[in-house]
Amino acid sequence: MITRRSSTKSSPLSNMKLGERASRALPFLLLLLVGVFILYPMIMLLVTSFDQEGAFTFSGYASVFSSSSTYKALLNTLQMEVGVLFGACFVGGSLAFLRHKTDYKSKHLLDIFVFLNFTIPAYILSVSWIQVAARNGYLRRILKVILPNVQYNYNAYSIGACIIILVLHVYPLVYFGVGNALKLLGNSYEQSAKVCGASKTRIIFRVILPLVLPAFISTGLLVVSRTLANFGVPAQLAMPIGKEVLTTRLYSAMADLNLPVVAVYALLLVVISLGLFLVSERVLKKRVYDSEDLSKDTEIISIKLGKWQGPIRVITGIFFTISILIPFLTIIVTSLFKCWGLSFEMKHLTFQNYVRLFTEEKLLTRPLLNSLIYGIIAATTAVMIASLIVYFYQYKHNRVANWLMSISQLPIAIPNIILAVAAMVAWINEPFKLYGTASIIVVTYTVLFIPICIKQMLGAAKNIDRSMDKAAQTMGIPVTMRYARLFLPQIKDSLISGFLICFLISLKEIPISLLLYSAGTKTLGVMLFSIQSNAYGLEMTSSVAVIVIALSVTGNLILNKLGARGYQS
Amino acid sequence: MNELKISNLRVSYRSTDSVNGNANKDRNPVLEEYSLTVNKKELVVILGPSGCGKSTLLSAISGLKQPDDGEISFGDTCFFNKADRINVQAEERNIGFVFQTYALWPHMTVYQNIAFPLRSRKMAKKQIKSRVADMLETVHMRGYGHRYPGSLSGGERQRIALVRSLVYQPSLLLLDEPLANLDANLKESLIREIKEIQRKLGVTAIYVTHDQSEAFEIADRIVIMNEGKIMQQGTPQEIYNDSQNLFVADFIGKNNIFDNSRGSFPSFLARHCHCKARKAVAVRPEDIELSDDAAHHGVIEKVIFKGDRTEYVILCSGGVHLTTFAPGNAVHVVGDSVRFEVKRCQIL
Repeated sequence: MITRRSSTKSSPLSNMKLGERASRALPFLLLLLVGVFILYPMIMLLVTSFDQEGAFTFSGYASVFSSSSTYKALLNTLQMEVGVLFGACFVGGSLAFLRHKTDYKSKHLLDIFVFLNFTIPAYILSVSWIQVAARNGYLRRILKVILPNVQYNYNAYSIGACIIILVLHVYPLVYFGVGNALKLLGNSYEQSAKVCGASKTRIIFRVILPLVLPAFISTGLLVVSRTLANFGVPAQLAMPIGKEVLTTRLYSAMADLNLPVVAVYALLLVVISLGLFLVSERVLKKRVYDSEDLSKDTEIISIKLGKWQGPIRVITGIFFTISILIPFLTIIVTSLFKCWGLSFEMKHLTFQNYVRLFTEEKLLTRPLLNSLIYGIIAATTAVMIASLIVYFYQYKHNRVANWLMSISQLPIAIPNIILAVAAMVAWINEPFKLYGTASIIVVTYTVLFIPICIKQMLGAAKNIDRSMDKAAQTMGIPVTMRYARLFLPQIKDSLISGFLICFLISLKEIPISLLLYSAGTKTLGVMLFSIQSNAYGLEMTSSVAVIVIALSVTGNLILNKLGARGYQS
Repeated sequence: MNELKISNLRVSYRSTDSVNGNANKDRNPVLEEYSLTVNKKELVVILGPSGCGKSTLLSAISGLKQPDDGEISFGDTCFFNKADRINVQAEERNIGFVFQTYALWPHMTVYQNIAFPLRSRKMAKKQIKSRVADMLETVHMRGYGHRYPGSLSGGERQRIALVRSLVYQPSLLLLDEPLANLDANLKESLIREIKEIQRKLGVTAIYVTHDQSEAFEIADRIVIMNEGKIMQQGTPQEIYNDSQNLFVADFIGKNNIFDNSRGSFPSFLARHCHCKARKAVAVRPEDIELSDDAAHHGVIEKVIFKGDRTEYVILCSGGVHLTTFAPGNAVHVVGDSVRFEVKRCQIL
């Protein structure tokens, strides 16, 4: 059906036509954009897996599935997944229970510490792990002073070490997820069980645990997919001793420059993570327990700790000392050393590392600037595109809008390293050669950020009464104005939090930058990663880490103030 | 003079039901072969149960929902015509729309809310200022300009929503259950205000509601709808006193309805309906008179005191129940034998 202007005499609305036209073309334009930048690279990945210098081949599949290193990597991945899953559920679940179901005294502190744990990038945790536990680390030095006769032989590099570090990094997800479920549960289920004469242990195991089981399952799935996608930790703690997981296997395969093999590994990871994603979507949909109105009593205490109060506080104290205090301290102390390995004396301490980072060698200036610039451009673009997609999805509700939504949410289920590989195979050849330029990093960051922004905005947008837009429409207000003056201001907070979350990711993101950087486009993530090659020395890397932590904690504090929607997941 | 003319309109929604696992692509018709005219400066109330298609009708008139077929025209302007492939966009129809949820933009002050449609029409600032002030004056809310919608009561919000949709002088005003979220007292005062403003500004209006008392209070003409079809239209008096079918008789006010499924009507109706072919007869409770010398008799089965009147349920011969009102306090008790006369009935 064509559109015709009303025949009323010179209406003051005559300038609307153009905007209206543009708004009709825009969804298609966006669809083209997400098609080219999200779907096309994934398709290229599939094509590459069959492509040996122009000829169709299964050799990639053959060599991947016949190689023992693939199965070893799969086994190590599985081992890591199981370890992290149980560790994170145990730590996060216990702390959440302590927080919401007992009269534990320092609940506020508990929240703060878990939050701090959440803000430390996993990679930095593993940097400090090495500094503490490695053969020339702090632990050995301290032991040498206390027990000069004991030989320190602990091997800091292992799958076990990866598990410990990843548990410390992801348990906050369980803490927040299960804690939320416990809070929403209220206490009527429990009290009715009590009235029926059930004992305390029976209530915990037969009433509370089954009711929060869905929360455990859904956060558990999140933990599993996060672990699967993690590259930095196993790259640092397992790769040096020749142990590989799927992400690091993929990275090693890149070194052979055998693209079909790389593509097959990538597809293997995509299949597993998409599967996990779909399962968790299912689980989330089924989670339909009634929750109580919590306006009356928010603090529900079912277990009095009594004489256990003291010992439990000591245990949690030790836990946070290990998970927060020691990592922070070691990183800061190392960053103040003139050179890693020197004895701990005042004369060996200096602020010179920080000065050097920015002045003398300008080591950090470029990467820091790059990270800031790429992060800001990509986050801004993502916020803009995501807000348009959410607007169309909310108010147009047609097939194009649905397609837009589905495609642009795809990257959330795909590990970062795969996004990087897909971008590489898609943009490596002329005439669309982005590889080797800064734009490939920016584009891939944007692809990564769009679903994150959408997730932030969708919640806010769903709370807007739809008739607000309809009212404006009948008043003759053009769509451009409705979007800019009515829609955007109403989801303002989610725009800001979306931007900040993305920006923070770009500060600590490793795999995308690492695979796609070239001379002059190094980022903070690449800098952090190069500790492997010892190019700059541990003390320099630690100063970078301190800066990243400072930025990350500040940004997360702002986010927390904004009450960003579900940003912990 | 006809101002709004709707003819043979068909509007449907895509059905999302899945049958046998396949998405059912059929469209669910909400309005079919729907025709309606509204005269200049008239206020027509569309009254019907929820889900009867009345809101869909407003969406189609305003252009928010594109019909499948038919024609909508306003004055000399054709808004929609399937045959001629005309579909004027909602933004260009110059219609005012008041929503049940008020739909005030929460991030703008009252002044900005009312001024926004004028600004998008590039009106001079000074003019906007005086126009907004006039409108606020109309609803006795001068001095509210700097406040945000969040700080207003429900009634105040709806007043602002009303003037916001009138400030740009629309040629047609659509109101979709504007008072449904308000309590009874507020409803009464606001409905008079709406009627007064509509008359003063002389704007043609369509008012959708499911509340009869609202409809009777405000309407020049009532259109009763059910399942996407017009059941009856007319003045409130015509609708009440001369219901034309079973649905209207049952839906509007209280009625004693008798169908001739048993082959005949109760004996007390004999005087009024001789024609046995008729489907049903309706008797308003107030058309039944209780008096000692009346011809028919029954037994009081229920007495319900309603404040200004008392409602009696009478069991008549043949097990037929009849509801009637009497003013003031109850004079009969359950079990009393009473005599009554049916003074008037509506043959459907």
